Amino acid sequence: MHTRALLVAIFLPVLLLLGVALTLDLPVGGKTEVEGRNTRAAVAVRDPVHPLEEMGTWAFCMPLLKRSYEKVYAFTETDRKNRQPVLEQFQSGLVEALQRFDTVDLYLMAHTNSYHGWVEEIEPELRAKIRLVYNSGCWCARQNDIWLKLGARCYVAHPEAASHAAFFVYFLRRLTAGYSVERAVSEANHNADQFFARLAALVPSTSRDRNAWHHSRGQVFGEGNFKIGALGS
Amino acid sequence: MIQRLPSGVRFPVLALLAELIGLGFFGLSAFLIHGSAPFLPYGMEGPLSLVGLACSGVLAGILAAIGLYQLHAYRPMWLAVPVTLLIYLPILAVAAVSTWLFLVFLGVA
Repeated sequence: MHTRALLVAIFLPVLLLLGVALTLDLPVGGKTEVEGRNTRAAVAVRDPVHPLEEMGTWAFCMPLLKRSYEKVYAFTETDRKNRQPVLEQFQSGLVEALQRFDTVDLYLMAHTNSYHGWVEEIEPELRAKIRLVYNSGCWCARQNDIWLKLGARCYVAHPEAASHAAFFVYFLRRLTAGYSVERAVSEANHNADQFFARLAALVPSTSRDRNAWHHSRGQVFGEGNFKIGALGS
Repeated sequence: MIQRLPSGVRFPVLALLAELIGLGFFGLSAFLIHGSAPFLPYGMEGPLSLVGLACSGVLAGILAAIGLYQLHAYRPMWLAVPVTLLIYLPILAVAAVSTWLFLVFLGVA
């Protein structure tokens, strides 16, 4: 037995995996929010982007959302020129979710958008069941009044133009692990700061992305002190 | 063909192949589900990405580890160290990122 060779073969891959996890994100502590799962649903929509981005979005989101919500209504817009059919499906899916469940959370994973137009047409009594709305679109924080008036209890969005994907990865992992919305946003902002700083150190040309991110950190509007698994919320 | 390769080259080549096949499978799945002419239904993203990342991450990592063992067990140090740094490290770095993604998508990390 060659002990040194065995140590190198085991520890080098393990050290690299640990380094990647330390650089990107360590396992999130806490427990999956399963309490009251059968009372809530999530509606998620993805705008038309590169197929690889769409693949990554759903491969990442769906397992996390399915663990915390009884049903996940997922919609992917595939054609920028003809968005109407999918947006109609989004609206009818949202109505169905609002009719069937006590609480519905919305995840809008799209560039600058105006999905609120499709929600405004829904009856106010149903809309009142919308609890959390996360909007990844650039400049979409300015819609906070609209969403809160529509009935959302909490609106999380970004004020400027930047890449918000890193934030969303950190945010959703923490939210579904039982963090309150405010805490999940705060930690996701912190982690995204570190992510962009490391990226800029490795690839100096991305320092522009880091600066853009600093102006577009996640913001919470309305009540953000609840966890998605909190009963009666 | 792979059997004809010298033993010192076989495992890094296999690990690299596993990475290319795994990442290729991931990319191909993305285009088959979300491309302009969808062939696979929505909802297949999770299982297919796990297969691709398991291949480019876990399998490639194991193959590279076997190669590393053989390299450090049977080759002189002056050769083993630079080969590790120049050949195995990039292969393992890709495998480590793929494995991390695999664990995150699986929900265990």
